[in-house]
Amino acid sequence: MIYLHLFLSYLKIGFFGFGGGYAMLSLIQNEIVVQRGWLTNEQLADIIAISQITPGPIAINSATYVGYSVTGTVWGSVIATFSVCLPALTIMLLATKFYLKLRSNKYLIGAMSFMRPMMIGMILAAALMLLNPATFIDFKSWIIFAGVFIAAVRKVNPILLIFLSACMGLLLY
Amino acid sequence: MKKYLSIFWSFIKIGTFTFGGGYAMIPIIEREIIDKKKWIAKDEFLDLLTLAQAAPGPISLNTSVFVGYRVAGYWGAIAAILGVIIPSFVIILAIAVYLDDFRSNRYVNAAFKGMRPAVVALITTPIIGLVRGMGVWKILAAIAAAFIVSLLGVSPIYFIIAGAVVGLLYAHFNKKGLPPNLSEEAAEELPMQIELQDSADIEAEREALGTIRPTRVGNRKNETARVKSATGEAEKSGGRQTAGRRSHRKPDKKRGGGV
Repeated sequence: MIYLHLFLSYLKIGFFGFGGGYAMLSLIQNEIVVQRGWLTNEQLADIIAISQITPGPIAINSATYVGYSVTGTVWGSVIATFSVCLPALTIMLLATKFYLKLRSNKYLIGAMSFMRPMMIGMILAAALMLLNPATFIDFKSWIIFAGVFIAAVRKVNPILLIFLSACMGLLLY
Repeated sequence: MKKYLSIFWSFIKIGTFTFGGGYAMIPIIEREIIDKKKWIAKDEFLDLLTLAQAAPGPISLNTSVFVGYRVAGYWGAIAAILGVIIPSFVIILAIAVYLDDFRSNRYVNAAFKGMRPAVVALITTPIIGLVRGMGVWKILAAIAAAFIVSLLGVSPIYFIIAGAVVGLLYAHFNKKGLPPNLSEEAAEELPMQIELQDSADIEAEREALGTIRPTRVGNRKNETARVKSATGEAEKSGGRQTAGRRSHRKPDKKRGGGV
């Protein structure tokens, strides 16, 4: 049963996860943290941090992690990862076949142009949901946040920033 | 069979070195698939990349599917997707198995306390680039959606569907004002300005071929002038009127190109 839930949840995430990476986060959060309760916001933030310093997209990383931690077996990981990839695989195969027609289809262009603000809203939603007392424990958290924010705006490598903030954590806590 | 293995191996390499999502993958794919193996033409790659962004799912997965498919059909796509997944799958599985033991460790715990606010900052930063050039109403809609989803716990799916429905209605009833194709549209709002290492070369190549197409980079001054002078001709040959406008874009929206 849990395998079926994993399959359906990650199929949903794969199917509605428009905009890639960060835009999928709030969807993952809603499905995994709010609705299923498989992870806490804190754990999700940890997985995102791990995703930043390991290769691979966040959606896949979270699927592999959640699949294992929910079922305690490798099969949970396999099923969650497979189901998050399934929509991407099928939809992209069709899209590649018909791409010349698709790219000038007015309905697709119209739908995309109004979905984009929603994707951006979902990135903001993910940030807002992670902005809670579990992740921001005191003023030092805010200092790290401000420092990383400024550095990231100036295009400092995110992997470096995650390592630096881990060092800050070791020094401060 | 040899070809599938070759695709699989290439994407294992790509999957291993892609840190931080789809955009970081593009320069690596470019080197491995376009320059080294010459499996797909750069032009085609850029066109399909737009579709990879429009389709649901992680961009790096979508990208590997279309490259694999173009090179060796359905099984090529499957070989590519497996290759890109396996490195991250193995690493995360290893972490998942051992993380709970490590988490109780004082130092690991402290490191995570430092990383959590950093993660929130890294998520927030791209928003600044994404909203630039977007209409006020769209920005307000995005903010409203963000608060409803984060505070009330409403599923983002409803907002994605609502956006799609409004867009379809708009496309149906609006006679003009939509860009001529998806690449143009994507260039408006998404951070498509991917810095290709030798974009000047492609530009030269395109000119030699007589097909004038604005690049997605368009951040060099001389290029701006060149694209501008070509705009008239481009319009005659069937649209892409945004060449001039797009060439003014600054390189500030590129993401991941330098990783």
